Amino acid sequence: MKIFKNIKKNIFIYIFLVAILSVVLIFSSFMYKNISSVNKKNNYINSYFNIPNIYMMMTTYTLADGPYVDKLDKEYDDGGLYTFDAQLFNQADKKGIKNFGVTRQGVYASYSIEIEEVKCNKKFIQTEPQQVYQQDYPNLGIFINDLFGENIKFPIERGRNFKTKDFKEKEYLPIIAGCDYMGSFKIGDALNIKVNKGYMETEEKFVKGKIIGFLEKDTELMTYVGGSEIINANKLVLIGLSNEYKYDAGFFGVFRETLNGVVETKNPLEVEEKIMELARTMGYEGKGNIIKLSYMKDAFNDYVEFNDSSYSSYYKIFGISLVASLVITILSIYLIIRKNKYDYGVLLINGATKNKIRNSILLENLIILLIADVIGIILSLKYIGAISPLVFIGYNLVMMVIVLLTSSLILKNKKTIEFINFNEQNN
Amino acid sequence: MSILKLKNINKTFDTKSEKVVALNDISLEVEKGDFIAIVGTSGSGKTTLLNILGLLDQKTSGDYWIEDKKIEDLTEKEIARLRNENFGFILQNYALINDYSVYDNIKIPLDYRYKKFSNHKAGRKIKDIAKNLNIGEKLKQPAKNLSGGQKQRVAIARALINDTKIILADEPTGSLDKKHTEEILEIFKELNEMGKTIILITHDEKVASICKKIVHIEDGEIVNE
Repeated sequence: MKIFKNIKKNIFIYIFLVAILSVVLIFSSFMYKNISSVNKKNNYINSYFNIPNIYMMMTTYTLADGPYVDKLDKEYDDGGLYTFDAQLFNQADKKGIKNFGVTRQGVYASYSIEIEEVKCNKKFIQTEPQQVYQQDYPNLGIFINDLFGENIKFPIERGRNFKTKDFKEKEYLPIIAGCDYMGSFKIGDALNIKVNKGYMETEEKFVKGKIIGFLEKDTELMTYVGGSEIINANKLVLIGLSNEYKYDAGFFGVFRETLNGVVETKNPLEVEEKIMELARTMGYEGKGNIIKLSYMKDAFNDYVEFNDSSYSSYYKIFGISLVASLVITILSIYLIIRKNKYDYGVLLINGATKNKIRNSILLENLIILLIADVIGIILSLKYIGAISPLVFIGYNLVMMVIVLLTSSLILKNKKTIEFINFNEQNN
Repeated sequence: MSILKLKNINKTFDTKSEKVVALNDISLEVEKGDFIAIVGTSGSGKTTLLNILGLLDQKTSGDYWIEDKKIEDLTEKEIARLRNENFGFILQNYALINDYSVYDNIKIPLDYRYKKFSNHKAGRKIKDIAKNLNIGEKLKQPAKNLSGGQKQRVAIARALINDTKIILADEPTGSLDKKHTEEILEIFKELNEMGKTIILITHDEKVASICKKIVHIEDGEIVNE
């Protein structure tokens, strides 16, 4: 039997088979790399950002521990505004997914930065060094003095440029956002600013803030932390602090999502419904994204539960794809034998045995499997970054046994005379 | 001594509702160099007889000898070898593998030969036979590109390549026009003159008339020889 001619003859069946086998092998690499390392509960935190959730993600809106979300001060919001935090249990930078929020469970890797000078419009502006603080989040609590205010020009809510007096604390803290936030916020937006008086969040409280303007693109802050360092301010959020908070600068953080996390209703009972409605409006529901409302104290358990169900789903999908590949292989062998019945009949009348025909089917499928292996290895290494040799070898062996058994069984059950019943066949 | 000998051969097929008798107590002896036509109407059992003769199907009862070897309780491998060494098949629809070249089609029996030829020897043999049958120029072409007459010549070349003693032909001219039929029958005559034993199945009395011996078969029984 001319092996390659036969492969060419059945090329579409074999291409389909190669695709299926490759997908299973790539999936096995994915499982090997990710699932095998996250069985322990302790690993959930590590998996928090590292495991690509390829088919499902969950946005959890965490509510305060009370029955409803935090309510903004009546002085500010006339009693109709509620805020909440949002957590996106997924890779923040995953393509096509907006980073809806940051998590409170992030680590506070704090360090102090002192502003040395500010670069704006490609001109460095000298400022007096001031104590500032940056969290993991791109928020920068900054104590801004009169000099800073005079040198930086940016628009604020009333259609005029910022002046130092705007930093004087009134009913809210003034916030100047980096230009990257222009799409997310607008001047006048209310933000909830979290103030932590310690790393353990034992004295957590919120104060009101308001966006009063945006820094121009590529504004840079020159700081010295050990040595001089220039920070691009595009992603920063500067919080103007009054003397009251001067020494708390290190514990300020702005939750960017707070804009998204403001709902307005006079009826507190509608808050949850309003949050879900907002999430749908923002496009965070559907396409595999699950939205869940839960209280802060339950958020971690929700995540663990979600992860468990996700990985259980992975196992299910892998199992189904494995079984599907077996079924498709069996089916393809059946189709190939059926399609080649005439050719096999010709070989049989000229002295071939069914064993020899089975061997040629085996060889064809071995070549197909090798091609799938090569594709699986290349794509696994490129996109998954790992392969499991044992799984590859095991899968190959299983598939060869399946091919052997299937082809033997089909050929054995067919009499020679059935192959050479040429009158029933088209040629 | 008979080259093939059938004695009291019966063949029945089991269908869902009944047993169909395809061959009933057939006895036949074929001598070396015979040119026999087995003639009968459609469904008379002639193709079943050819399948049993060519070891493509098994008899229900009776005895069958190829030369002095009794065909009984043989393994599939032994049967395949006997088929390869003793029979060349020429069938109505040519039984060629369309995607193979003419060369590869003719070579098939050599691929399954017990004692292999070297590629060089096989190639020389194929070219000689193809040249004699006027298909020497077509060796590299896929079989599907040939005309009916050319395809049947390829089938004849394949039947001859392994130097088998017996050619079994089932309606070899059934798909051919008058001109090609005459050409193919002429080849058959020449082969018989060269010493080949030929058993030809046909329903066409004209085709049968070129044979030295005619066996009529009706309802699974030989009615006269």
